[in-house]
Amino acid sequence: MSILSTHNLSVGFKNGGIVTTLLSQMNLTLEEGTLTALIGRNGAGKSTLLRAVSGSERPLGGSIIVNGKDLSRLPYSEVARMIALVSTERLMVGALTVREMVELGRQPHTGFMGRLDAKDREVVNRALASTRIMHMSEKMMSQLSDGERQKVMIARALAQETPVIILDEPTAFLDVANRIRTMQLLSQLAHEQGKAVLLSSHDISQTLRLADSLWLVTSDSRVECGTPAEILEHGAMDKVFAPGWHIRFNRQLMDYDYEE
Amino acid sequence: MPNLRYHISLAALTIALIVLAVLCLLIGSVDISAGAVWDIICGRGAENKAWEIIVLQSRVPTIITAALAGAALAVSGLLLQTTFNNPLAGPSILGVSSGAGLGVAVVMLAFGGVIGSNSMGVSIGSYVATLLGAVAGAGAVLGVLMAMATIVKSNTMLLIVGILISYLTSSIVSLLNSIASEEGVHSYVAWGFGSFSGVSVEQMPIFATLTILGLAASALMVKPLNALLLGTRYAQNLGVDTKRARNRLLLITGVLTAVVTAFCGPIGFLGLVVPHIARLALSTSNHIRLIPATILAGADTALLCSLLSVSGNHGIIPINAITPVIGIPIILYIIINRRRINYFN
Repeated sequence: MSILSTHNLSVGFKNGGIVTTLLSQMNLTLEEGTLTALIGRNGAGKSTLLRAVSGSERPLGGSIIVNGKDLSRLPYSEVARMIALVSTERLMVGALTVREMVELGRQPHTGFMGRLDAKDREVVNRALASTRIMHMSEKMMSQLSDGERQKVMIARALAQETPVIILDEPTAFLDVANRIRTMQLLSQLAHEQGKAVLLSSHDISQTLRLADSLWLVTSDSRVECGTPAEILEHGAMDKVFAPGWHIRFNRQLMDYDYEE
Repeated sequence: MPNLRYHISLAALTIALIVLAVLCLLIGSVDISAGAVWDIICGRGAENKAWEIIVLQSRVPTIITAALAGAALAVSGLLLQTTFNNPLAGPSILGVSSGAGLGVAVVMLAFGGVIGSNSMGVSIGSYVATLLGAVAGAGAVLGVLMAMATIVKSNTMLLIVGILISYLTSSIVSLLNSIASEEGVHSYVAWGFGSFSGVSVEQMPIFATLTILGLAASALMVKPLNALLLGTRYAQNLGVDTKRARNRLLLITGVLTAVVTAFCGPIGFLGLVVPHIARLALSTSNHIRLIPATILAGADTALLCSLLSVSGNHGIIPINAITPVIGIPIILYIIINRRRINYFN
């Protein structure tokens, strides 16, 4: 079932009255229980699209429907219970423990003073367990590596208990081992907990192998939606990434190779 | 573990508060024996009527004023640091105190209003006017800072804007001085030294009510404050209407700073330094624990300044001569150890 869909969505930015449209006429869907990867070349507008879809920036036109409701008409408090965000910003909050950071994810569900009840603690424990960071729950954020921080932010998003999780380049600062682990974790969360996970990535071979669905930013400022196999079938990947380059996408291997 | 540290710190800060308050009762420019002070506090009176007046109408109000003013400035600093995501923010460095001071100057110099004097017979109207002037001045500066914060994203630039605002207000004050009466200039200069002894018994209810309300309001903001630690985007994603939350936080800061500035003068460094003392002591950025600790540490620091101000050989040392001596070493320590102190990373 599709939990989030866009209708003639266009995104971009306004600067001093000048409107720059980056991506337009997008009719996309996110399905529950699937890992969707947004891929495209640098500067194509991936982050802008993610900001619009996560409700943190207004789109230029069109609409985004989450769980049957128009995203632009929802107050922050309601969006917070439907979409959790993991962004690329590096945080400056060293003096919170990992547990306190994950507990912040409960804010949309707690009362005025943010006090946690037994159920909230249970959810936090589950989030710590499924991201395998329970053992470091009393550590300070400042003591963690980039990879560990990323896991904490994913745990925080899980504690938010939203049907949709959106991540902007979750593997950007990670080494190969951590990239693979993070992607596998996200794919597991989608399949086992039925969440709709949307992430942007530059790691094409990883996403082709692990994503259930792709949003591909094409060269004519549109976004194509489909399974990795479908997208490769069209030859759309070659059009986006290959012109002028000696890269060839291979449908059988679900990967690409270089040509001399 | 973090809980144990919190309770120990809070207990230590409370004990310090009691000890400092008692010392402030006993020590002053006039020597009064501890036994006599105790008798006066218990309502048994003293053989020397002047002592009674000194203790009840000077020392006790000064202690209450110092504790509340210190707490108010410290909490203002904490709210500003979180709102602007800037560890070097504070009411004096961002020009909020100078803004309040300008409001006071306008009232004092242009209309001859007097606040912070122990003289009897000062009409309620004149100190309410001074107070409103301070609130208007602080509010105007916070409005400018808010607007600049959306234009300049850099923390350093915002601090420079704050310093520019301070320069501008002091030049406007100098201009006002040239047209003001001699009496107005005199009371403005005296006010500028900073003092916790300016709130008379009659003015205490309004001062105490406003600061306590401001402190209570800040305690109700812990949830958005903690969300704002993660930056605007994450805070919004946690359901916080960041624009509204920031406006409320700046309103609380403005009222707290303005009230203290109107009554006690433009007191520097307390607002900037005390939140760092609280963070270092507790080793946390979590406002649920940070706000009570900041309130207590602010009261402690102000009482310590007040105590030092009466320990000189020749009369009273201005508060603003003491706060930099305490504040600057701590700020330098924090800047030098930036990489090591965990709440920066």
